[in-house]
Amino acid sequence: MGKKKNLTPVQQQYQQLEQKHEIKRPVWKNCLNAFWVGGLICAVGQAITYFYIYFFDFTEQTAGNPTVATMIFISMLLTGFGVYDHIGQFGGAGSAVPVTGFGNSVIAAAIEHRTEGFVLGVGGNMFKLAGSVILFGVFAAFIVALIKTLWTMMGVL
Amino acid sequence: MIQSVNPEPGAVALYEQKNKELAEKVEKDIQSFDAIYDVAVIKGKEETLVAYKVKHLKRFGMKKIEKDINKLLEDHYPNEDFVVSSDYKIFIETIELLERMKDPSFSEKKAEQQLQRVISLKKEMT
Amino acid sequence: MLPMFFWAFVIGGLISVFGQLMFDVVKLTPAHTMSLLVVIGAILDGFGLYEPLIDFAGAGATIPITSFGNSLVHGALQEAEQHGLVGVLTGMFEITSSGMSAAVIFGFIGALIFKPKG
Repeated sequence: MGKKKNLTPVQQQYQQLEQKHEIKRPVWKNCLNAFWVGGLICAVGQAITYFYIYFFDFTEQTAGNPTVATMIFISMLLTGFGVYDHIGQFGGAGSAVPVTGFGNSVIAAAIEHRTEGFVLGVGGNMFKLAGSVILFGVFAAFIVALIKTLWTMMGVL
Repeated sequence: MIQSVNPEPGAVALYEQKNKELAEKVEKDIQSFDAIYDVAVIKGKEETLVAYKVKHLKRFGMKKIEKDINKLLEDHYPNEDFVVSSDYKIFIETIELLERMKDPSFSEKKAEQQLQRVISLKKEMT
Repeated sequence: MLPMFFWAFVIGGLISVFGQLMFDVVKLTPAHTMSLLVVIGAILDGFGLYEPLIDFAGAGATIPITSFGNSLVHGALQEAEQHGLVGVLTGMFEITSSGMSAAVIFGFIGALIFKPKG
């Protein structure tokens, strides 16, 4: 966005124009909002975790599973009723970083592409964002686990 | 649940005095840890369940605390089997069991069953 | 119990701020940011640093997308302990299953019952 490569003078002029009109992002305000929204979503998640610990037979270790499932269910409701978009506008990364953001991207894509049919529309488009997350998550986990396992086998760890 | 509960240590074989004494000694040993602010001990037929709560700021080192506790229990009571847990759910289950054990009509067999249930809950990973 | 809520809020908020900085300063897209966070979660678990964070901050560490990376590594390592190297492949999605399945299932249900907007 700021690299002046070997551009023609017209292109350089355009770039200068672009930079002049680019909306300045209020970084501090965005970070504050992200902090509040992200923290609040996690606090709600904590309440749900304690709910599962008290009223069901889940331990601290195992309560993460139903908690995540419940959070994604909630994000389905919020996405379906159009509320999650507003939260996203305000909270920025605060709504994208928690697992509800992951759920929202999958569910929003599914709802949006329903008109194209379930197999090609919903199925084909659901994993637009999730795909990258799964790809890099699995591959990174593979490398990390491989290295760790080989090291323990060889006696380094 | 927010403050320290500090229950009396329990032994399933309530009729044998030496089991209760063992449980009391174990509780004192665990209380001596600075990072721990609540302990519940139940001695069963074969295993002894030790549930404890860690002060929140010390929770970063919870794994090390568990190792230290295991080591201490190994050193002091080499003939006993211990099941050690910092899990909140295990703690509240242990307290509940201790309360029920106070009732004289709660049979020893049922208490042992419940204890085994709590121990198997602790061993679940996912 | 109460301090856990506080730290869940703070740590969850801080991870979100990190994400926001990726958006605003490094100018990454949400997809880039979330992928980066998953990778960071996986690497942190490799160093054994993520589990203590979960002990300390509870949902503040299990709700952000970084915990996906942590669960993937955890599942892989658990199986690898028992079954050797092949366990890295077989155990990967064991712990993450809940989150992934829920996203797919509720996505489909959402598509069934909700109408697209705009």
